[in-house]
Amino acid sequence: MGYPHKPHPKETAVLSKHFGDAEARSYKGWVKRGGYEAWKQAQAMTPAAIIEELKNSGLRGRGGAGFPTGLKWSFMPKEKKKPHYLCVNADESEPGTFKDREIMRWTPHQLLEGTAIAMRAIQAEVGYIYVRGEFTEPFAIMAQALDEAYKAGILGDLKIYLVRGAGAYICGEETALMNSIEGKRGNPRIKPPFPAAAGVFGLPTTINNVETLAAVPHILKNGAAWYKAMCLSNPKSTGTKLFSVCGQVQKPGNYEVTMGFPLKDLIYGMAGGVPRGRTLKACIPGGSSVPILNREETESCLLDYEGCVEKGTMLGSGGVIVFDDSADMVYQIMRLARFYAHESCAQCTQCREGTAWTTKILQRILAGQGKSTDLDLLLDLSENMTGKTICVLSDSCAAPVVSGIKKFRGEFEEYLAGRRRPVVAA
Amino acid sequence: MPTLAINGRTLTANADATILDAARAAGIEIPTLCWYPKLPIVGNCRICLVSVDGQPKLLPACATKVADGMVVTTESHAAVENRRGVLRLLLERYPAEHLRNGGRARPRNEFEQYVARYGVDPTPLAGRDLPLRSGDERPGDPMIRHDMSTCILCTRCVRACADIQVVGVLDVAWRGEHAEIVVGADGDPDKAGCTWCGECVRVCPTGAIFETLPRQRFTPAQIRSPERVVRAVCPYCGVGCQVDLHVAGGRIARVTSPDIELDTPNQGSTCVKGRFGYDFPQHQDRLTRPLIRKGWVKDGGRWVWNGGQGAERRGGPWQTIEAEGQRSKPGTPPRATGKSVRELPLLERLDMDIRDRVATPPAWYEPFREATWEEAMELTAQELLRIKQARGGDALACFSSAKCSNEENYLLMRMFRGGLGTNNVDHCTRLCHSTSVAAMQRALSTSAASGSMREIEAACDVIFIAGANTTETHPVFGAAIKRAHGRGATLIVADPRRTELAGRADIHLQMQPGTDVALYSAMLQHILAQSLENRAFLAERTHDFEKVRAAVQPYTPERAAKITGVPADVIRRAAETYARGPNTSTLWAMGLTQHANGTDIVTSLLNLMLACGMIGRWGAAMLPVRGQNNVQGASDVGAIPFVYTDYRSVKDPAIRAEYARAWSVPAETLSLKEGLMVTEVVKPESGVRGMYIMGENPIISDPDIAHAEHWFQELEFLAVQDLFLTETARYADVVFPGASFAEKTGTFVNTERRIQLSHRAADPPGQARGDLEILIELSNRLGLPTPHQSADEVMQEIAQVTPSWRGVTHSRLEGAGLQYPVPTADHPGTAFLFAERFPTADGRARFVPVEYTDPVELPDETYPFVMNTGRQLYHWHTGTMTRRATGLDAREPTAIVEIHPADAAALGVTEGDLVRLTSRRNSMVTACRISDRVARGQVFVPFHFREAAANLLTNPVLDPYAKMAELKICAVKVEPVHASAPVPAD
Repeated sequence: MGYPHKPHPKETAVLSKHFGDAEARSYKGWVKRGGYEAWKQAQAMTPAAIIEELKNSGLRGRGGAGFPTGLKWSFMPKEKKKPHYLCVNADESEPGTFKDREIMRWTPHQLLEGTAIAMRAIQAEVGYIYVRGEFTEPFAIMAQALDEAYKAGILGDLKIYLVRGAGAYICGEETALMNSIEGKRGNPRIKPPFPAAAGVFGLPTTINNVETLAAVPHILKNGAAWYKAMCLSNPKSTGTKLFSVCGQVQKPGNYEVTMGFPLKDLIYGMAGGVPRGRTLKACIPGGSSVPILNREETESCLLDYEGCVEKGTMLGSGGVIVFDDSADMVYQIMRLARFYAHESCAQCTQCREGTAWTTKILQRILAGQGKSTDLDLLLDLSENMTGKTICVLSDSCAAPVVSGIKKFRGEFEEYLAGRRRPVVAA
Repeated sequence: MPTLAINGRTLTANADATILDAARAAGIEIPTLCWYPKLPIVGNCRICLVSVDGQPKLLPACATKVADGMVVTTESHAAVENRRGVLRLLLERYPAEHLRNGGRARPRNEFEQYVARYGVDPTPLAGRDLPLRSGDERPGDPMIRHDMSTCILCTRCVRACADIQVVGVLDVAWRGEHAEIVVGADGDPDKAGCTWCGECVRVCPTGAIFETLPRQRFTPAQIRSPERVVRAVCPYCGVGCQVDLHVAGGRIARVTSPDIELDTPNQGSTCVKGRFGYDFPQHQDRLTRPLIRKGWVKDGGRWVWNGGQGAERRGGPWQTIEAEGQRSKPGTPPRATGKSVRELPLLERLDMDIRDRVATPPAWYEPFREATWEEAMELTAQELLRIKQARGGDALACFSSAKCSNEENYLLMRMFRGGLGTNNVDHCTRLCHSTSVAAMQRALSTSAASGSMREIEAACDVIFIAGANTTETHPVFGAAIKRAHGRGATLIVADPRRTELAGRADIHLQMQPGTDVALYSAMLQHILAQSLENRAFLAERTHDFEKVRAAVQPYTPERAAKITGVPADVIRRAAETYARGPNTSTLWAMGLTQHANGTDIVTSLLNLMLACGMIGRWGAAMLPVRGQNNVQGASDVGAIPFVYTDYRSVKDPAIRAEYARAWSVPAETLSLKEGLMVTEVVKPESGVRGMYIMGENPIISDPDIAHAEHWFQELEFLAVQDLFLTETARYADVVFPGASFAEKTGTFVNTERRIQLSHRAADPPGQARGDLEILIELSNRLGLPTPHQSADEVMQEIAQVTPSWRGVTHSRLEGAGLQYPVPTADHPGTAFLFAERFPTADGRARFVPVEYTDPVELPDETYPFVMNTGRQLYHWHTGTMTRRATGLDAREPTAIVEIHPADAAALGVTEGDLVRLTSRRNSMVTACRISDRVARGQVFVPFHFREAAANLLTNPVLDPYAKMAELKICAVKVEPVHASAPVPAD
């Protein structure tokens, strides 16, 4: 539901059904609402059967990459020779995204139940829930829920630990997250080896997003067919998804819709559209790392993995950032680049120097000191930063820059030509 | 083996090879910055990306494994564009003005070579959007400094420090554009545990991390393009690292280490001494002309002594070591500053000329006059022959040198045996591993390590280290042990001190000094009680085990716990771990050997080792870790009193005949009587009246110096061949100026029996001569035919008389050298011994039962502390070399005693305070270093410092078999020297 707003009739509330319902937080309250039934069900199933069910449901990773969850689980060694681990990525730091936070705040047991089922499916004895450092309230709620679950004995001998991040965006990258859990500097690792072969502590590991795992109990309880049926467009994208709408809209918040829902309806219908008297200018549909859409693209985009790719962007984490016609796109893009420059782990040359240089050039343009060659330099740099580094942080920095220059070149040129007043100090 | 194509060439590679490995093996160069041999792969520079057919993205060659059918293009358009992009990004923050346009012809480093090759033009500095990089700079550091503006954050230094040297001083701090290399948490390398090994200097691709001294003393052009680069063997410890000496202006400008040579002991690493301790040969104190004591005059064709007699005979205006120990010397540590000696700003120390402080005092030269070589040779030959005629050859003795080459040691031994007819030939092995040799000879008829150092890292499951502070005394090997421990080997350390390895160890047996026999016997007792002994090995490879079984029975872990202070449970755990292996290596050094019962101690360890069968396999090595870089070789070529080369007895007439033939002398010339050992020579009853000492400094290294000093004063004739006017040379009649390691060609044997060739890099200063040259001329003057012209020729003769070296020639030693036995000219050398039999008569090892005895001198009320002596990381033995090496001496400029914090508190002394140490023999003043590395009731004194010589205090009681002195244990009292109480003056 559209917490903190009233549910919208077009929403399909599965994960967010109990958002705003404080009682659902407690173990008792959660059980009363049908909680842990799926977990009991899973305990009677073989790991292979759980994975099969997940594969049939069509559930794909909600962290941004959209990798099929059942398939990912099936990569874990079938024959167990070493300890297996599950990592839960609750390091939700993508600008514009705040869905996992709400899941943990309102339905911590939903996540724990999904975690337990996943651990059974991949035969893990230890699970780490890596919670973003700034999430103090969700962390406390999770800690209490975990405590309750253990006291109730529902988790059996599964060992689930909560780990707090320390404020680095990059630790949301799966291998950096593992390094961080190990107590090392949060640098992404080279892949291969992939986590299923050598993950945390060098042992077979699966890592899933909070929203992905929260969907798992519902799939087991209601069946793969039920989940798969929730699809408005491409059958490869199934189920529901939480979208965090923010920016220049009247009712920012989380809205849960069926895959394939039109972006236009999400923005205008549920989020109340842009402020009165303004018009929509641009939208980033999947968190700050994906290419920007202009108005036409936004209004024709369907919210599923394929629909977004069709418009040249990505579904990403589902953080919908809306800009109206008052927005200065050059400034907005600079802010995004600055974020990535600040968060680069500094391993790869292209990322460490490229994000910083990109930011400096954008700031120079905004200060009215741009050079005629700067846009080419930016595109050249972005080309250098795309597809060449260990992780995709540098690609993420390049995406808004490239799409921004392509779609809003006029605004850049106004700065370069001195037709706009400088907005930052030199 | 996968087959792949790189740039159109079809190659096969190992399944676990990367694209880069395959390309390098085929001679195809792929640019790399963050990749470096032996470092963990991080793939962060992204310059090695290559195109692989069918892959949407470029792939890192360093991190991508080869696959069958892979088609790789290393210089595709996309790959080249990416490389240019990487270089351009790095150049944006790199001071590269000189690289623009014309500067491109002169790239200064690896990184700039790539810039030049890919034709990237840096933005002018003024137009840069990003600032130059910064980072911790190590200001004032005497050896390593940083210019972080040229850092490209490849993190090679971080990994070299953490993964090769296993120290972990450097790291990347901050993130994004602010990322920079930092030294520890606060920029202070000392607090971060830096050992100044210089591994970071070696791997840095831009020179951002560089050596301080070369830049202060040589021009950039001299450093960049030295006149020649010469491969040599490091002159310090027994690891035998190969180093490259860069020569500029006839001097060594810097030392580097060869990058990848898989079989060299160091594989590119060095420690601080090897990399930074190379400037002593250029020290102002070097002797450049022969010296003759004033008072020798030539009268009627013969040299006669015309000077004072008695105590004056060898006196001088200088103080004896004993007297120096009684007063505070210039350069004693600043007191009551509340700071540790090491915390003093390094810059300050560099600004004052350190060399003046450790320099030979001018007064020491006063009793001498400069002489010609002819005079010095004539006088020496005359006096040696005179004493031989008057008193017999056994009235003469020589100390050979573990710092000199095999060839030199061989010639000196040959000169004394063949020319003077005495077996009184010995060297510092007596104070080193003589007890090990005695014990190993008794048990296994061998005198050297059974295995190789590299097997510790490669194949060993349990590492048992007894009495060896490896990370300080053999740092490169110490790092290999730490790497082995890191990969999962279990580390057990038996040491009274909490050394670095003891701190890291899985089990630290911190016993009371000298209680080793009880400890190892108890371990064996427990192993037998648990039936963990290797029965098959005992039955097939050994005899007399039952005697040892009976002998260890009384040593239950409980009883040993009372003697050693190590809890019984810990002894049991160590015993079980040792016995279970499967491959346990046994290492030991001076902590076991330098005792009056050293032979018994080593025997008890060998008994433990043999009972578990931990020898004769790859991974189960017996490694007595040798101290000096050629202590093994000097013994191998016969510079010990009982044997010729290859440990062949001097008592056997048949062997004697063989050597007499080789040396073209009548067999009767050679004595059949075993000679005297170092510790026996220096005694009034030895009857020795004339001595020749090559490169040794017994007046600092022998126990109870005051007595030794007195003995040397009484000699009729003493000739010393050395680099400097050492504490011993002061007493000489003739001093020959010799050559340093860099000024001669010769071979050295390291602790794993590896014979390595060291080449001449520079000329000896002034009239100084190569030691070989000196010995050849003197031999000829003594009437021993010595036609040799070069070290190569001497080696030919050694090979001829040494069965296990028969296949050795200088030309075969180029590269990694050879591990003897090398019986034939095509034999590849022997990495480990005793796979099938021991060299005993029946091929079986012998067990020798031993009993525990208390150390000779135990603490009592008057002398409540146990004093232990040993070495420090930055200094070498008597300090002759290291105290004249600018960088090293800057790190440890003063004499210290390590004392436990609780003992220090009880005595009321703090860091840097002066204390007086008194033993039953003597007393001296030194500064306190508070450290919990020593246990309560124990103190540790390094023996490098002449102004506070540890050996004034040590106990000269000897091991009955090997005549080793009890250097490790004596009882002392410690008293504060209060500032108010005047320190006794001269």
